[in-house]
Amino acid sequence: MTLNIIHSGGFTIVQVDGHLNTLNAADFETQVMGLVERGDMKLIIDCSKLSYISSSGLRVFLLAQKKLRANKGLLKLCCLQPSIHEIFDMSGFTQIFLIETTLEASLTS
Amino acid sequence: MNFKNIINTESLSFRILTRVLLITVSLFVLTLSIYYIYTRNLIREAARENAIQLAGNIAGKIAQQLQPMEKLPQMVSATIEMGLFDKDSLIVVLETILKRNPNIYGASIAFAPNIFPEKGLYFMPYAYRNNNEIISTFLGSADYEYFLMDWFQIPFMTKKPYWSEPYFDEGGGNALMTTYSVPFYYHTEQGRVQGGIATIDVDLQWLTDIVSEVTIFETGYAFVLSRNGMAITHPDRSMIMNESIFSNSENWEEPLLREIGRDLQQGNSSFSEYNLKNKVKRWIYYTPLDAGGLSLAVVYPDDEMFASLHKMNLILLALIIFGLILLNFTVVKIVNRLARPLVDIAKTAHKIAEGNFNAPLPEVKSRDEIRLLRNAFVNMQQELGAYVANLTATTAAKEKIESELRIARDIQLSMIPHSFPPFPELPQIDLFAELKSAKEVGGDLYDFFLIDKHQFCFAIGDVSGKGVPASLFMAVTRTLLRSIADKVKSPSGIMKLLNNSLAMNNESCMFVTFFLGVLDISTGELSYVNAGHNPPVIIPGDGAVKFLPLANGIPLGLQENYEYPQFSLSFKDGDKFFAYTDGVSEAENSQHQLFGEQAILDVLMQHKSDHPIALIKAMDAAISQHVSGFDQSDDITMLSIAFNHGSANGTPRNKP
Amino acid sequence: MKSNRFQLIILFLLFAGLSLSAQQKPLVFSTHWLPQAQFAGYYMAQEKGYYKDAGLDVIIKHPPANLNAINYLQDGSADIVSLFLITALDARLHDFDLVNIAQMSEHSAVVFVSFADGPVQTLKDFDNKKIGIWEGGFDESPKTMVKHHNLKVEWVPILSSVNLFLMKGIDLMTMMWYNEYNQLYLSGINPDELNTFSLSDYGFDIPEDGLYVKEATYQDRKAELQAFVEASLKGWQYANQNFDETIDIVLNKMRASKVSANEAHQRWMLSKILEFQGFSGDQEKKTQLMKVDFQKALEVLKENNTDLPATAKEITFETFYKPLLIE
Repeated sequence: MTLNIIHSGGFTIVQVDGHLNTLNAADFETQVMGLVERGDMKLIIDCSKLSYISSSGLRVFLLAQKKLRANKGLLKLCCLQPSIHEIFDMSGFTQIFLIETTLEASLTS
Repeated sequence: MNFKNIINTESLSFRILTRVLLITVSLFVLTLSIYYIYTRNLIREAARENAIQLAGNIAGKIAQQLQPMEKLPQMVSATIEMGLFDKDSLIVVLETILKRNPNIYGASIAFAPNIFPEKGLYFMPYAYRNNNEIISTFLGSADYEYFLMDWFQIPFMTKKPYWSEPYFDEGGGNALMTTYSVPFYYHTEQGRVQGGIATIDVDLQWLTDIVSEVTIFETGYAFVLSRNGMAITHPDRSMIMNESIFSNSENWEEPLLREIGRDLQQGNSSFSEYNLKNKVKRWIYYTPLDAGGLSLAVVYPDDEMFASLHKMNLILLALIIFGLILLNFTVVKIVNRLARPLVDIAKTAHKIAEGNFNAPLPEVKSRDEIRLLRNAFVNMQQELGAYVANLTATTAAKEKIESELRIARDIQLSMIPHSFPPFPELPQIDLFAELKSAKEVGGDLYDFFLIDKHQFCFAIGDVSGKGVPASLFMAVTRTLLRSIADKVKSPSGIMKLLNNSLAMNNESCMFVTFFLGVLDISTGELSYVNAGHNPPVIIPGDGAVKFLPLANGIPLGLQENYEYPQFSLSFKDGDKFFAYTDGVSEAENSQHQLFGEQAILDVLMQHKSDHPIALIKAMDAAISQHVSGFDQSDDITMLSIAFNHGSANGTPRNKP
Repeated sequence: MKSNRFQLIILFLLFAGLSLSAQQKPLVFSTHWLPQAQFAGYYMAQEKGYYKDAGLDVIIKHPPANLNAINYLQDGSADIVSLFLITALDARLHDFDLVNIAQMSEHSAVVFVSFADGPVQTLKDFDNKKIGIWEGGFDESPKTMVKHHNLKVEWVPILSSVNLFLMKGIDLMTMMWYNEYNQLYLSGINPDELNTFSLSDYGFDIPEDGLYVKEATYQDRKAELQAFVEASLKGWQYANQNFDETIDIVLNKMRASKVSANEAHQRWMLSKILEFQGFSGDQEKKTQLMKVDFQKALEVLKENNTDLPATAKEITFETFYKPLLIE
């Protein structure tokens, strides 16, 4: 898994590339939570290159969203691959997260 | 590796020595062979030249004696033809010849039959020596028909002078003789006719003496052969006049000898080799003599000819062997001195292998590769020591963690029911469940129990993450489920309370996907709620397997007061139910291919009439086949229920 | 015990010797030529004691080169002589009363030899050529053969050597397969350098060596003669089976008689003689004179002798051949 962090128009875009699994979830958590702690309020996680996500990974998403909401911040997910979207659907996470189909959409709304 | 092997058979010195010796010996053999062949050729060439010279000398001496003798009968025959002498004075002529030529034993003038009718058939004046006297006589009688003798007949018929084959003359003291005969013509009343033969008899003792004087090396010799190849002189007296070069060719089974004889008869000279009967090799030079119809041969015994070469070879061989032994010692000594530190280093390496990282390495004074090796070993020794120390600490820590994980797994497994069949008294339900923990324990769980007499509650869930936190969360979930189900009966009610309990103060955002079902075993009515879990499969007694229709609620522990929608389904007799965690659908093989939901449906369809135990075992087998030995990375949990409503009323399970 | 046995043997030998000398006068056998392998069987019979075992005291003698053995029979200095059939029959035709008691040779060993590169290639080429032939007897069959083919040749008498032939003083020479022919080989001439015309190939296969005695001896000493023939046959058999040993004995005999002895030549001679005498085949050696051979010999002789005495007409096979062995 590699992360690519871009700041654009007040948003912090985190591009996740590869597998997000139990092994690297802690590393992912440190980096994403680092962004939240330092005060980035509008976070977009770009999942266009995310090929797999485990429950540990989902937990980090949840953790980030929880923290951002508490700080009146915002977390958006975008560009979920169909297989990932299916997981989100099945586990009900589509009801929890704000999910956009494109990065542009997430930046404008 | 074994020390003894290093030092003994396969030692460096042994290997170097064998190679060095191989090359050295090959070189020596090559050199010696070339030297041998070259020198042998030189010696043979020298012998050949020597033989030619020697034979030339002897031949010259013999010719010097024989050639003048040929003139005598030629002269006599000329004078007779000219009619210079009266037939009765011929005897005086012969006596004169003998007087003047001490080497001539006898002389005759043998007339052809009836040349002088008054003398009869035979007329042959003959003078010969007897002791110191010269005796004259007339030969020829019925007992001695001289014109049938070779010495007469051959020159007479061939009309050419003829040296007879040598012979032993019994009258002449059994001396070896040869006769030179010259045919002459005579004028009679009938005109010029062949008158007869003038002869001299030559005692060949002087020839034997000349030839016998010759010695070549130890046993080499010269000998004279007649026109027919007969031995005229020979150091072995039994050969003389008995054996010819051709009969010896037969006796010794040596065809070369016959070839030599025939070549000799052609008047050729040559230096060649042949073998005696016992395969003793001889070199021979042969050349015809200019007179007497004789040939001369000089014989060089091969072993004597090459004796000096063989002696030299022996000396060289001895030197080589001595040199090789010296080389042997030197190589072994040098290699052993060089290899000594290697052996010591090897010994130290063994000590290090046994765990003694402080074993001292030998000092190496030389500045060669062995010193490099020694330094590398010192470095390795230090690195190894540090590494092992580090490893010991890490291993201890790891062992602690592993033991904790093992405990967590034990807790996880001890929390769930695992005696089957769980309700032998309830024939309506056949149930089997299985939880296979991964090495790194996950948070899977299942549970089932009776809420009351008819309400059978069961659940399956998967906690996010792995390890001890997941295990603990799973334990909490399971404990909460039991206590809540005591008070609330509806699945959605239970689920809501459970979610609220777990979501409260869930700072770490742990969650659990959860499926909960309550089956009324009297009616077959199943009520169920799903909190983000993989949809279970319904296996109807008649028809295709399918995922349970449901709407997904969010996993438990994320959002308080979430309302989970409840669904219901009526179980018919023989219907089965199969629930699982993502450990099943996401079981990976080495190519990272997932087992997948379709595979689950396929296996279930294939085994739809099997008992839950068999069903789960079949699924296990299918998963094992898919992963084919690849490590299990997540907990695998399966739960299957068969509903046999009819059994309660005594009806058979497989109702059509 | 030992000395007793020894004494017995001495006694026996004494008696045996006594009885021999008392009963028998020696039986003198003369070969018809100098010692050579041609007579090996008789030497072996004597050497191996076969004659002695038969109770005979046999003395073997040889005539000098220039003497016909028939003379020994004539003057009584030999009791038995070995002769060629044709020589013996010729003597008989000329009133000499000898009889054949055993025919040893079975075939003619006579052969005409010429050089392969010379003018004589076929029998026709014999015409007007010089042919060497033995002086003093045994020239009848070759001469008759040449006559039968209407060839005119110059006969050159030869005493003993093949040198005249080797020096090409003559075109052809009559030779014995077992003797002169091999002398050529041992003088360096290879077989392929020679043409040979064997008498047996031209209808003159008259056997040679046989044993002859005077008619009177035959009558008086029949038993001894029979024993001699039997023992001699044994000697020949031994020679056939012990070739090398026989050659050694022949060579020794020749050296003792100061005759030039050549091992290779004697080997050839013995092997050929054994062949001609019928020892080489599988059949048992017989000593029978065939009547047809007798007839042929007689014809040849009559053709060569125009002045035969009147008595010659009375000679028949039965009066000439007196077999001693029943075969």
